[in-house]
Amino acid sequence: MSETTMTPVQDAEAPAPNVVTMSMQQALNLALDEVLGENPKAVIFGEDCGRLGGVFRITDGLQAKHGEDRVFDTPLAESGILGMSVGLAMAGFHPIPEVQFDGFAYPAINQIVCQIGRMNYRSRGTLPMPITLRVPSFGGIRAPEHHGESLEALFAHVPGLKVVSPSTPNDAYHLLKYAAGRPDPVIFMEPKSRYWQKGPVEFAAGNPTGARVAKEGRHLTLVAWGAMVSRCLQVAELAAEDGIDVEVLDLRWLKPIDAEALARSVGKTRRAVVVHEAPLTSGLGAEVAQLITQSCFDTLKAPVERVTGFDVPYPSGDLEDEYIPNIDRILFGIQRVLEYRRD
Amino acid sequence: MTELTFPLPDLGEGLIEATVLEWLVEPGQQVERNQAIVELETSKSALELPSPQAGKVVRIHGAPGDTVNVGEPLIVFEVPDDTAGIVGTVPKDEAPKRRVRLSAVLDED
Repeated sequence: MSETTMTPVQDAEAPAPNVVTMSMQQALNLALDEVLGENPKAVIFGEDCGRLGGVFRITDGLQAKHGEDRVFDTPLAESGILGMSVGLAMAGFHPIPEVQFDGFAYPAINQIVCQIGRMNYRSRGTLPMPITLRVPSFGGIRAPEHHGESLEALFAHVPGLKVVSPSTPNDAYHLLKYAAGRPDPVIFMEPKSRYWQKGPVEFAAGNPTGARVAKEGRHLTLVAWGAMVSRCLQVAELAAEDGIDVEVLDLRWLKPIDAEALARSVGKTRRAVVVHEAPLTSGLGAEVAQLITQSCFDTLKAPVERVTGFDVPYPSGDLEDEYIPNIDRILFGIQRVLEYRRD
Repeated sequence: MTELTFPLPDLGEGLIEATVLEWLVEPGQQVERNQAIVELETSKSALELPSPQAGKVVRIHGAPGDTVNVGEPLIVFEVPDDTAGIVGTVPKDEAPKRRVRLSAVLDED
């Protein structure tokens, strides 16, 4: 792994090396920088996105480089941020708005559900909504209430929206560039607890569609996305100590879900546990379990287990450790699947 | 590195100023989030103010006995660029801990 570090916004003259180690913050920043450079219709805006460069520094330096008409601050009004995105998209722009924290997507739900999700449908394809909504998502940073949520099931349920969440700097770079190039609205859920971890970004080799096998295994598949992927990789290492060879499938796209990848993985391992931070009831784990059951019913060794957050409001930072699936809860889920026997 | 200024917050009950009793930190010192940084007195009470964030103290405003108005700079922190302005705490990557062990007889049919 290269130890090369880089400034977030690249010098346009410098030759780009093929693999660079950087944080997810830097990978996202670089992707946005390139999108602005390549697509004159792309505009970035949100609370503190301009001068400050975002509370997570994702838009750092972009206003200075690309100008105040391409990267700018908005009032503290999420429905306005998304409403403006609708208007800009109707006028031919490619908005990349930011909702500063997931919990503040709620005030914008009307614009997201009633306008962004359906404008293309309503206009018979004459008014596509090429909007990439960046949402710093999930918990893990001990933030106050409303600053950690897991809204993927809410968004995935809305017809017309696509939903994606990267778990590595490499995926963050490639998925964001891909999302920003789509004609459809994409909810881009950034796992904020993973912003600072570094990893290699391979500029030439990006596969931005479908799920990704994060680790191969043969006894059981852990299905996860966003911040839970790294935890599941830790669990896989621990399970190996006990002789259990766990495969970790990073779903990445939460809508549409890569059903073929689920079928391939669980078709091989015959056991599956799906892990998410969101509450259990009506969470995306149910959708994943159904897709697995549909394709693998005949060979499944046990019902698909779900290890999830609890059916309570996403708690503030002090209670996070009690809420987010931890290593032991995931191991218990695996054990339940391993122990299952048909009568 | 980035400097972040923390102004005297509204201490409640409509008070518009506070008097510095004693600083519990000094410039150059690294402080943690929620660490007590200063003792203040208002017309209602004396209180210890917790630090809103982790960082290195660059400057403090107001000597003991001085009055600081709500909204005026109280303390200036220096923080790494990648954490400036963040709500919450950058998570530390820790070695995984476990209490649960797996046991299974795997029939490899």
